[in-house]
Amino acid sequence: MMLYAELAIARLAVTAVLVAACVQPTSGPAAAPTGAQTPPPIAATTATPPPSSGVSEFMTPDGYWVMGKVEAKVLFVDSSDFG
Amino acid sequence: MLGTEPKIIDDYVKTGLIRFQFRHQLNYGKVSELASQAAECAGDQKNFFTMRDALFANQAKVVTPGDANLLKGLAQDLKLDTAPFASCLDSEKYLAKVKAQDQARRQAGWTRRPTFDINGTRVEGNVAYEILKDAVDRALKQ
Repeated sequence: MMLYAELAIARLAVTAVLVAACVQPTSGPAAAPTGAQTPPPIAATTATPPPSSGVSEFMTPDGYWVMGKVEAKVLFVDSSDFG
Repeated sequence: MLGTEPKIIDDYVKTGLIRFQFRHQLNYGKVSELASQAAECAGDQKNFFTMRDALFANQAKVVTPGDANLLKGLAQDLKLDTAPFASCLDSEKYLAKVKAQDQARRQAGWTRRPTFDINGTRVEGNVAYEILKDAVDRALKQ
């Protein structure tokens, strides 16, 4: 009976040590940050919508934006003004 | 072209038959330049055509005033990453590019708004869907 009680106390002590090791102090030198905390980039919090058509888009080597498949047989060019 | 182009895109681009390319025209000075740059800046986030559609859909309200803040608001509405978009627009990093595209189409004699080119066949003005469809179908048979 005595042995069982000592074993239980030993287990409690080990658990306490482990818990203490895992808990970070909230103040004092050990808790001080080693570098400045930077906020997450905006891109991480804003969703980028898919293209409105659901079709992929890419840029040609000469800088024109294209919607559709690179290997599509016909090139349809639209030249227009937003103004 | 808000009426005919979506149908061209549905019928031919989404089915993989054609690829749809856009080239800038700058007919209204700063207003056109600003809007074209907005499309290019959205392109940095792979949303050129999303912005293009939104610009055409909001011409009177957002484009015509020639106010960069309205374009930034549109980018926000489209859920683009607003900080790099605003930085891009303010820097005018695409101004030379859109001007070069405009100059190229002028030199090619593309004076009408809009002008289409379907594998070398030019179609000018706001034409009916059937006219564009006919040109595309003929190009597909060649």
